[in-house]
Order: sequence, then C-alpha cells, then structure tokens
Amino acid sequence: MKCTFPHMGNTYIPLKALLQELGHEVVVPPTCSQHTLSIGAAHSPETACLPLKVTIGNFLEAEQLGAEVAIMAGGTGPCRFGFYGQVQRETLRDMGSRLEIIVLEPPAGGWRGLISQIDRLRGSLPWSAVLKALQIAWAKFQAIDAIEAAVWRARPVAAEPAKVDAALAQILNRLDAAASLRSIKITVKEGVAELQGLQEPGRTPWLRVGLVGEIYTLLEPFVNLDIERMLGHSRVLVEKNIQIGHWVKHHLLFAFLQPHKQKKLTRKAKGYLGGPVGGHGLESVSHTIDFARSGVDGVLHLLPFTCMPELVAQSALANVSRDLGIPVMTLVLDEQTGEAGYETRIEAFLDLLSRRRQAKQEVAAR
Amino acid sequence: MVKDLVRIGIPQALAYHDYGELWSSFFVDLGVEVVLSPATNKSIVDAGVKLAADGTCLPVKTFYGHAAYLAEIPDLDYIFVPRIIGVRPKEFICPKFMGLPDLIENGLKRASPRVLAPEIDLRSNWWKSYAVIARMAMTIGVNPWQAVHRYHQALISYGNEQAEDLTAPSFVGPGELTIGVIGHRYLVQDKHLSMDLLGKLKALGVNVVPGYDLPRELVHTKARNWPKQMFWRSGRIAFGVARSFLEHQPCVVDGAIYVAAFSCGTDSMVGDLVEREFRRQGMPILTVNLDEHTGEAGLLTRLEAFVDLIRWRTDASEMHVSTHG
Repeated sequence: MKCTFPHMGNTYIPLKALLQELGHEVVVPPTCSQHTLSIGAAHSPETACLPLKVTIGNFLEAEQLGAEVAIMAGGTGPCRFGFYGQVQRETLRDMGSRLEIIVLEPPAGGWRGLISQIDRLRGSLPWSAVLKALQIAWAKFQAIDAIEAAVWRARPVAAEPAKVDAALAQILNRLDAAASLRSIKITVKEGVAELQGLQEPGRTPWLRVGLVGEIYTLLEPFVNLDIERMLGHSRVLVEKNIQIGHWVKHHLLFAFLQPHKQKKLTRKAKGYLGGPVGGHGLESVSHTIDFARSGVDGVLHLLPFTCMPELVAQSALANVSRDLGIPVMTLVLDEQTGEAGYETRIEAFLDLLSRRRQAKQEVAAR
Repeated sequence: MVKDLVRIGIPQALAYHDYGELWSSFFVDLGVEVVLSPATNKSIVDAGVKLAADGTCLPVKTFYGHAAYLAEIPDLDYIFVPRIIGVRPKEFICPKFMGLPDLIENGLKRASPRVLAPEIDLRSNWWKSYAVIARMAMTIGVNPWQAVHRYHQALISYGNEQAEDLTAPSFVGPGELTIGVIGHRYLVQDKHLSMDLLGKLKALGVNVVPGYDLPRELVHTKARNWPKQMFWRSGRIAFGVARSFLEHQPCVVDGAIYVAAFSCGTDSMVGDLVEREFRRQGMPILTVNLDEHTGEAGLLTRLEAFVDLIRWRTDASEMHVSTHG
C-alpha cells in the first residue's frame, strides 16, 4: 500500500519510519504551504477548525503524488478531532477522490475495529517485525523531543541563530535517514552536541516565554507561522510542555497506567477550571500555572479559531494571569491570520515583558 | 436578620431549554426561591457578547448575558450553572458545557452571587450524582436527604416521560408542505436567537417538525445508523433526527433545515456530514448559520426561497414534467 498521513510538525519522521518498517511505501505529503491550506479550506466545512482544513489539504496533495491510503488518528470526544476522520472521508468521497482513509481509534471506539485496522497495516509481517517498527518509531519520537529542546536552548544564545536553523534541518534529515536504534541514538547525541556548540558562551536569553495551547497549533510551524523560530531569533528562550514524543508516551502508551495524571492537573487548575474540558484545555491552564511559578516572563496561548476546549481555557487564563501576575496573550489562528499583524502583536508583547522585567529589576536594585 | 429563603437564579438558556422545568420544581420543592432570567432579548445578547471571548458560539455568549442579568439582582445567593458532562453512556454534551461554570465564573470576575455548579455526569457511575446533589444541598443549606429524594424522583419521572415518548405526536398540519428542523433545542426554541424561525415557516404555510420533538428513543435508535458513533449529545440527536427525516419517520417530510450556531464546534462537523447525506439522497436541505449579526430580512428571504424551491420540486414531480422544458 502507498500510505500517507497528515503533517504535524516533525511527526512525519517517526510515522514514515513506522510505516516503512511495516513494509509500506510511504508518500510524505509536501510540507504544509499556503497551497495546502487553500485547497483544504476550499473543500472543508466553513466553520471547522484549522487543523481539519490543513489535513484535508495534506491528503489531497499526497494523493496527487500517488498515495492510496491515508492513516489518521481518531478519538472519542469531546474534542472535534474525534470526527476528523469521518469528515475527511466524506469530503474526499464527494470530491471524487480515491484516497482511502484508515482511522486508528483508541480502544473506547471498539477494540475489534482497532485490531482489524492494525492487522491491515501489519499485512503478513510477523509480530516481531511490528515490534521492531514500533521501537524505531518510538525512538524517533523521543529523539525529536530531545532535538527540539536543544534548539530552544540554543537559538536565543547562539552567535548566529540562522545557523541553528540550518543545523536543525540537517539533524532532522539525518534522523529521517537513521535506520537503526543505534544510529538514532548517535544522531541525537551528535545533534544535541552540535547545537550546544553553536551557543555563544556567557550570553543569556533576553526573555523566557512559555507556550501553551492546542497541540496541533503548537507543533505545526506552518500554522503558527513558526513561532518558535520567531521567538528564538528575538533571543527569547521558549519553553513548552507539550511535545510529540511526550504526548505519544503519555497518551498512547501510559494513559491507562496513569489515571492520576488528570487528577493532578485538575488539582493544579483548581479555582480556574473544574476539570478536563477535552483537547488540551486543562493542560493549557495548569501549564500556565506551572510557568508562572517557574518564573517565566510571559505565556503565549495558541489556539485555532473556534477551538472549543481552548476557548474555555482562554477564559480561565484571564484569571490565572491576574492572580499570579503573569502576562498571557492569546493568539487565535485561522486561514486569515496575516504574518505582519501576528508578528507585530508578538513584538509588542515581548516589549511589554521586557519593560516589566526592567521595572522589577529596578525595584529589586533599590 | 436571618434571611428565610435561599434565592437561586437560573439562566433561561442552553440546558434550561431541556431541563428547566425539572430544575425549577426541584428547587421550589426544597423551599428555595427560584428567580429566572427573562427570555432572551437584545440587551441580554449584547451583554453576553461583551463578556464572552471572540470565538464563542452565539448560545454560549447569550448564556453569559443571562448570567450577567442575574448577577445584577440584589440578594441573589447563587446562580445555577450545572457542569453537565454527559447524560447518557458514551456521550458528552460539548466542551463548553463542561467548562460552563468556569466560563461564567471567570466572565463575571467572581462577583457575588456565587456560581452553583454541581457536576452532572450520568455516563457511568450515575450513582455518584446522588452524592453531588447531597453536597450541593449542604452548600445551599437545605436538607440533603430531601434533596437526594427529590432528585431521585425527578430522574424516575424523566425516565417515565421517555417511555411515554414512544407514542409519536402527530405532526400533520394544515400546510401542504412539511419541513423538518434539525438543530439544538436551545437555539431553535429561543425565539430571539432563531428569530422565530419556526413561526416564520408556519407563516409561510408550512408544517414544521422540530427535531427535538421527535420521540427520543426513535432518535437515539436512528442515530446508530451512521458509520461512527457520535460522541456529542447534540450531534447524536442531530444524526438521529436527520435519519428520521430521511426515512420519513414518524412522518413524511419534504425537506429539512439545519439550524446551526456560527462557530459551534459540533455543528461545524455534524452539519457538514448531515448536509452531505441529504444531498446524496436527494432531499432538499438548507443550512442556516446564526450569529449575533444575522439579519432578519435576509433569513426570511432564504426561508421563502427554500420553501418555493421545494414547492416547485414537488409540483414538478407530481406533474411529471421535465424541468428542462
């Protein structure tokens, strides 16, 4: 089968490895672009959230490159993401597209369905090969986390931030090419060392900013206009508690082993949010509280327009911001987001944070 | 001076349209004074729009307005905003309902009166809700045993109502056409928000079948005839209602109108899937997206055009005249 999948930041690397190890030909959709969004938005429901539009665009572009089957994750609510697969399938069907969509649902959607879908992907491979494929994908997921974290640390203190971008692209290419667990490990080790080497000794970041919000907008640079890079080049140290490897680890593998995790988050958000509201709404609130306590200068909250869980979080964040004295700015993203206006808002926010920091230092110096 | 009665305000919006009577009689039976916000009007919507975040849907914005109205009433002890997670197994209401008390509390800047927010989750372990009710009763200072007893009775009577529901009401009216309406009850039933869409249709000489009046069990059974089980309650009902209309049960319909709230997350997906299915099966469907900027004249024109279109269609098919001339 010629398989494809939607883009979400660097997740294409582990997903490609997984499917290749399972013996499928993989068509990675072209990197998300204005074209992806345009064709996606043209065929999606008007008021659907942004990720749906971009992923439909991904599928259409991948189909032109010869993809036959698209792999998609599913869900059981209450976030809209759980119905993406259905809407994508119907949309493509009405367009006369031949792309078949396989939706991998978590167990609550019915074990039998999931097993038969996995069996289709497995084909005639022995389970030992499947295990190896999973191991490699797992290692690559974790590798991405480590590399991204190193990039966040390196950019604001690098002699030339542009060199970090170039190094990142190369490291990701090497990771993509790495075929064994050993070579993945080496790639990460060398990559992190290389990124550290680009740092200018003695230099400190201008500001520290935490990123919270909806996972897709946090991970996909096309959608958030590469906010991490923008901040890094402005000498801002980025902190983010949602990363793909971490997400895979906690949601796909250990979710059922850690029922207390949600409770812990709820306890932290007490007084602001009464419980989980789907998606990453609860995480946004409790991570902002964490960031405030760890002393970051400010928090940026990202969400796609009309995102249900994050809208609830947004209203709670206003109070978190006031009570804990931490500036929070919400950035709503959709296909109309203009780069210039977006950058201006972020620059103004950073200026505000910097003034605030100066004022604090002056008070402390007195 | 000791105040003799606890006063609780209930916003006449969202879930009130489904459960309002139950709530009011529950509190009144416990000796609590219930104050209702008025039916939605322009000033309530305007107040809500000011308080809510930009991307919020119209019904939730309106809910803010109702709560703000109640917050202005002197001596009101609580505003009742239950946190409804789900009322049937494997379904949620919607994320905004799950966070509604937080939205209101944050929106009103925690001014008095306080928000009374029992967490209603009947998806599994429904018995836990009894403890929730007892705790709520203690918070407001009424006898918890009595409250639990009343709650239990209400659950049973609601269940009986569902059983009686199986006998379908008659939807046949004087009009020549019958149009089904799919959409949240809190949107369609609210005459201000929906600009009296049902009344407008009736004035056009059409029999109207509001989806929320269909027998509940029929709707839930029909909702299973879609490829994937819907996990939102409103979506499940919309799916079930849509199937009922497509299969002409319990009555024959000539077309349907999907009433959606702009930026409603569930409508954006459900409405799309329903619309596609109607198109495939060749039944006319009109999607009306409502927000605070929707103009009444524009809505009326669309409804008239839609009704005319169905009329021509049925005339043409009855006369067996080709529309190509």
